[in-house]
Amino acid sequence: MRFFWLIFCWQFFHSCDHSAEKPVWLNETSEFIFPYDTFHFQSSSKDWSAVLYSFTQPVELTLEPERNGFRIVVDRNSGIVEGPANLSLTSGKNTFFYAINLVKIEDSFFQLVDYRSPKTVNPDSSLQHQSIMHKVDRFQNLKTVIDEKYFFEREHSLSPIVKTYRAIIDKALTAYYMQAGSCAQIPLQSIFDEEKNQFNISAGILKDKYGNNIADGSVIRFIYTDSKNTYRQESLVKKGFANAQIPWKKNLKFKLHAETNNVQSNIIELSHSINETAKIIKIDEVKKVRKALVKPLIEKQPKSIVNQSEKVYSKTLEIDE
Amino acid sequence: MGRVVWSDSLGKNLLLIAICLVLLTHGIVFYYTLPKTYDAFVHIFFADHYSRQWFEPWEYRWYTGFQTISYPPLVHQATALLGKLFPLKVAFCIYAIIIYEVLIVGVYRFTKIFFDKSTAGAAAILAAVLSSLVETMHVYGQVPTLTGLAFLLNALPFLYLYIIKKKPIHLIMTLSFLSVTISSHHVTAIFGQIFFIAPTIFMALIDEQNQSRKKTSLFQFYWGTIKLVFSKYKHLILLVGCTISLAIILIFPYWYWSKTDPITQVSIPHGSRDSFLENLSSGLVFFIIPLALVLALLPAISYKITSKKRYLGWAVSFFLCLLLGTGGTTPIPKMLLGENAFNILTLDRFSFWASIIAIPFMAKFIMSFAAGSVKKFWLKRHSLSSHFMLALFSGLSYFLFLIFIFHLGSFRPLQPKEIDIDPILNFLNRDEHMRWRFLTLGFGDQMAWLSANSQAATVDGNYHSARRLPELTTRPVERLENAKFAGYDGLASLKDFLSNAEKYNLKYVFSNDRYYDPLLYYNGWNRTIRLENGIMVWEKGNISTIKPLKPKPLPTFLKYTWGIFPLLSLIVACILFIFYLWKYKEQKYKDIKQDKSEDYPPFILYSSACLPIVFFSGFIIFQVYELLLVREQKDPETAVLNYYNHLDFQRFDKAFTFFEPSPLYPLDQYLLEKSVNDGGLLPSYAKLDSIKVTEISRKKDSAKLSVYSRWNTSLGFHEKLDTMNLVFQKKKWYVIPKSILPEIPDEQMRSYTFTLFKKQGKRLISSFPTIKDDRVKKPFVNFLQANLISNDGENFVTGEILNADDIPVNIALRLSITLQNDSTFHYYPETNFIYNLAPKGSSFFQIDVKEIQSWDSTKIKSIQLFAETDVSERGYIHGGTLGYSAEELNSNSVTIHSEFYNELSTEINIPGLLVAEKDEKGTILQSKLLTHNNAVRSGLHINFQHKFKKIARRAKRETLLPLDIFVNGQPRKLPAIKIDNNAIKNKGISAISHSFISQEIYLQ
Repeated sequence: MRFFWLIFCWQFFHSCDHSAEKPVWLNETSEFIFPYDTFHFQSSSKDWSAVLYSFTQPVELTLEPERNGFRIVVDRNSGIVEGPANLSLTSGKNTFFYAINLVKIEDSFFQLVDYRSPKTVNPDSSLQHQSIMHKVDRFQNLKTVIDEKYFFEREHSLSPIVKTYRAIIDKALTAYYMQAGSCAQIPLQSIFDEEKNQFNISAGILKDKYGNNIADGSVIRFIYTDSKNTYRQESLVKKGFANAQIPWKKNLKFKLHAETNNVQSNIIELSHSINETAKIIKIDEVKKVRKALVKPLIEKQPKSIVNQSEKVYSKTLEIDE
Repeated sequence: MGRVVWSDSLGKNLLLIAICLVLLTHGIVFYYTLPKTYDAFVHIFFADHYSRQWFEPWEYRWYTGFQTISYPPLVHQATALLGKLFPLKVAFCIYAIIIYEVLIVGVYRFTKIFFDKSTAGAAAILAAVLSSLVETMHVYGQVPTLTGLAFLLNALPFLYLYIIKKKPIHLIMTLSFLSVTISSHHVTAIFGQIFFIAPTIFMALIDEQNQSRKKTSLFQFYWGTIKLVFSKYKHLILLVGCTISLAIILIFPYWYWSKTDPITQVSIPHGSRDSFLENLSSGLVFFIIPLALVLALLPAISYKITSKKRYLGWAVSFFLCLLLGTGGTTPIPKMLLGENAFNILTLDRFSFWASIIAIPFMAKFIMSFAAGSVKKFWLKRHSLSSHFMLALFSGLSYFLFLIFIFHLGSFRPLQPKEIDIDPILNFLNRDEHMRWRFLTLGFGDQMAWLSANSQAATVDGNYHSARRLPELTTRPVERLENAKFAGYDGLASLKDFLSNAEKYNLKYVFSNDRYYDPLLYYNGWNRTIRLENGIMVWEKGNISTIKPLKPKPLPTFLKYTWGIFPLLSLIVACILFIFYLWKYKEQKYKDIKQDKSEDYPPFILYSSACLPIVFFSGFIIFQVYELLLVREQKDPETAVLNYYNHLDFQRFDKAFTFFEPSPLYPLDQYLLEKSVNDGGLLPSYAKLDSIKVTEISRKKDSAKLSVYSRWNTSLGFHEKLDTMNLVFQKKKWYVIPKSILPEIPDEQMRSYTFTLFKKQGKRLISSFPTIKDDRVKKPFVNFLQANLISNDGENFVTGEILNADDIPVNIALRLSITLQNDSTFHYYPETNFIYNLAPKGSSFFQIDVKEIQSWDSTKIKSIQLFAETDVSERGYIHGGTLGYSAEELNSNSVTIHSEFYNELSTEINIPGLLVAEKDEKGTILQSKLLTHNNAVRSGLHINFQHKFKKIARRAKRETLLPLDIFVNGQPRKLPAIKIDNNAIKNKGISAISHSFISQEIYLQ
């Protein structure tokens, strides 16, 4: 008898466990702007749990009871990515799905990406520059840039001035670089250094066809020959000049030229004869003579680009002049 | 009865003493001798493999991958298990000590089948101090050999009893112990059958026959033995069948590997195959040391081992092993083993086995000498004190000899000094350096220790049988890391890897030996950083990361058997042994006919009693003489040879003592002059290969000698001819130092302006690969010319390339030739190219083509020349003003007179020039690197000359075949070739500086 009574009770309570009613959608649109938006539902039951299913991992949402139902809020701001999703509401064995569209709220925080290609430009090849711009928010969602377009592409014609430019002003990582082109011509000059008994050779100012100093560290080969040997001395350019020192040799004349990247200077002749009488010249006088000779040469250097006259710069300096 | 009990007790006590002795000596010392052994680190590396991947035999870290089933795994797996509790090195020590203890017990039990327990106890003590075992453990680190031997010796008494008593338990015990031998060392298992198991069976059969105690003729005796063999054929077949089955089953993957992937390695020279009369050093290490005591007691051993019929098998084994152990001293070992086996096997293992077979017989004589018939004989004729003194000094000299073996590594360095590997591990772990392979140079066997501690892969390795790379298997080279010891072949092999680095994704070289610096530099490697432990890291640009490798397939079932069976054999053997002791152990080997005779003929007795003291004292005296008393200046030739020897080993203070003593020429002056004049390829980066001294003139107190020396450098052999004057003073010949007139620069202080570059690397601190905004573009280069040249059957591609960019560049050149059958060959410029170029710098190049016979358009489908570029921040200054002129010798050769002026602020260690021969149109016909032997100091000049073979008359430029050129994957066109007036002036020769500078690390 007791057994039948138990069965009756079970039947009774089971009949009371009716299916939950589907919560009523109270929202104007299926777009869910997070993290600030909320969804409102009308339901007599408060016993619901909500899970957001998107193409990333499921996110459990928080329910807050209201007078006639409940609302759903998102209390996390990571792990949610824009796009179509399903909102599931579960109560006991009943689960209801609502198709929604997740939209990230337009807030003031976004990151502008301006990718330049090529990042290093050389006027020897092309001054055309491609820029691809896009905008991402803190969740790495792409945002529209202009006219509902997510990418903005444009071509730049760059100025051929050597410089490090920044696509976005305060970001070093977006920098792109205009490097110098190859050397257009090599002005060459020589001074005999009495103190060290050597020819000081200077090539410069070395510029590309746009007037930029060619890159620091570029190799300039000074090739000089005497009656027997061929000599090669390499020097690296610093601030548009490359220098070399050639030790003086008694009774030897050198023919010198400089070259870089298939550009060659004129040939100049290096020779110097040391007069023994120089020993008896007062030091003050020597200094005076040297000063008088060296100064105009330095002043004339810029002109040498235009006028590469061999005669001007292959001057043979005599102490006793 | 009382004597038997005393004998038993003494034997066991001696065994206990031996066990304690091993623990106290080897147990303490092994941890310190382990790093200097040949093989210990290799086994630790294997153990590390099993501790990481027990059931996966593919090991990717060596030789671009190999199977660990190529070596029986028991020792490695047991160490790996212990490694779960202790650091691997400690685990390996613990395992080795345990095995040594098992070996001591094995020797004790093995000796018991010959003699009584007292002798067995003495044999156990002898095993604790036997030079061959000490050497195997502390010099070779061959713990698998010891493991195999330990269990083999333990198996022999069971085998003996099985033959005598035919009880299944003895067969089971025999097989269980043999299983461990098979699982731990295959060579011991194979040769153990011949040298240990066969004599044991033979002795058991004879002992059984002797039970009848009837006197028989020799013929009857052998006939009886043969009949006995046939009467026991079932037992023998069962034994042999089970042993073979176990050998197959337990390490089946090993046999499977041997069959499916046979060894193709050409024979690697080994000292044990040398003629010991010609190479005394090999004789010492591989014959004298392991057999020291055997040789000293050889009369007694020979007498005893041939005195009974039951020892006949052992006598054959012993003398055969002794004979095979002589290596290449006589042609007999090669005849016995055959050419192939002779060149594969290391013959020192035969000496080792001979010494083991001799243990019972040595112990017998020692016991007899200490307290037996020999002592009685001695006391009858001589005094007790003489006996005591003989025993004392024999023992003392032997222990001194043992100490010498323990410190063999110090007297004759076998390995480089211990390297702290932590800085290298840190380097490999950071910045994804593990994504490329590395190579060590000058590490010795410590390269295996580095590998065991890192997950990074190297192209080298330390287990020759497993390697399959043709660059290694086709040459008799032990390892790349010690290539310099393998002469021409070694360096050729190393050169292949260094120039063909891309093929093996080889990007880093850790160098502990500056000998290799010139080779690395001239093959396009750059120094990156010197680590805290002094190791220089060299790097090559433009190398792609390691591609995923597909291991050779092995059935999963075999992988599991490999992981389970060997260790199971050890576990089963241990359990069975306990079970045997508990249930079947007998008080003594019943029915064993132990030899109790102690009589030795007087000659044998005297010689064996006195030889040890003579032998060991003689050895010690010889060593002391060699170290301290040898007359290095007894005649002019010896003086010069020893002087060069000291120079070669950089013992400059010793070399100085060869100079004529003079107050005007102190050591300080010598070192100063040396620092001014010396340095360069020969003084700093070479080893003396051979030397010949010829006497030009000699008087009573003076001599003049001509010295021809050949030096082995990483760039090839260099020869030098020198003349030396000597004087005779105070019974010694002294070298007269050469007066030098050094060039004196005008300046007291020099300055030079360098432009240095620094690549920022990652600007975003992230372990993820650099994002695209942070990448540095590939620098661009231009080919100025590229030509297909053929000359007298040799073909090559020559040309010139220019760094057209504003930053320094590292260029990787590769020539790919595809034949009509779609097979492709790749070639690289090796030393005929400057790999790092400053902005607007240029270099000639020549790429030799080896396999292609001619530029035949019907056979060749395409020829492509690729240049890949990378930013370089080092290596772009090549040093010095080069002056040159060419003087025509004949129509085919010129002498290039070179003059270097070093205007830099640092020494140019190897002045070099890259020479191009051009025709009148400017076409480069060939390009070669020429180097000078001596350095040039800052502000100074150096002149040298080279003979250069011209090819202009015979060489032909191929124009019919198209040569496609690519820069960073993009096709490029060649500009018109320019006429080079300077080359025309210099007989077609053009040269650029290509020097090695070692001191200024940031330059190269």
